[in-house]
Amino acid sequence: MSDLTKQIEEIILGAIPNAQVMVRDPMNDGAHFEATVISESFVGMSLVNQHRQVMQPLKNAFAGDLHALALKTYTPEKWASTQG
Amino acid sequence: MTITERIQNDIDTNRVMLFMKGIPEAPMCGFSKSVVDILKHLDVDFASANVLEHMELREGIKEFSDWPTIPQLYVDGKFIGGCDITVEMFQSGELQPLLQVKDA
Repeated sequence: MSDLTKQIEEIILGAIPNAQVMVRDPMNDGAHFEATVISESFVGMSLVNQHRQVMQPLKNAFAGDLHALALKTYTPEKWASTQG
Repeated sequence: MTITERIQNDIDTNRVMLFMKGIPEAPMCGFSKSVVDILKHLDVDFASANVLEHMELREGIKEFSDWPTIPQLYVDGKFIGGCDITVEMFQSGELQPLLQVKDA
């Protein structure tokens, strides 16, 4: 795991402490990341607001330096249903 | 009319409103095209605004929605999301009831 993936993971966890966070650098280029975030706190929240909750702290931390992050957010229930 | 008023008017007067790069017949960005493709596939009537023709709109819509990227889809005056979220909601079947179309 590169420093940046670790850093992204820590920032997300800092904002949503109870979350399960997986961050990947699929092209191994240190620029295009994928993150999957599963959290109970997403229950009842629209997908837009779930994404905002993750992106906002990252935006503050990277001030636009984070080139691309493909984000997937799930409630635990929804995550379980995708793993069927 | 300020840019905020223009955007508010767009989403108030069009049930399904897409802020995009290009026009539905000729999207200028793959992400905008994906959202257009979904709306067309679901046979939804929608209005669109081309942010490339209007720099003030391009920046204004990001601020209005507090969302950093384009396209942006509004339904019934409510911000749904950008390309990723729209595609995900289409695939999961959550988008169809919002647009009041049958599961396609």
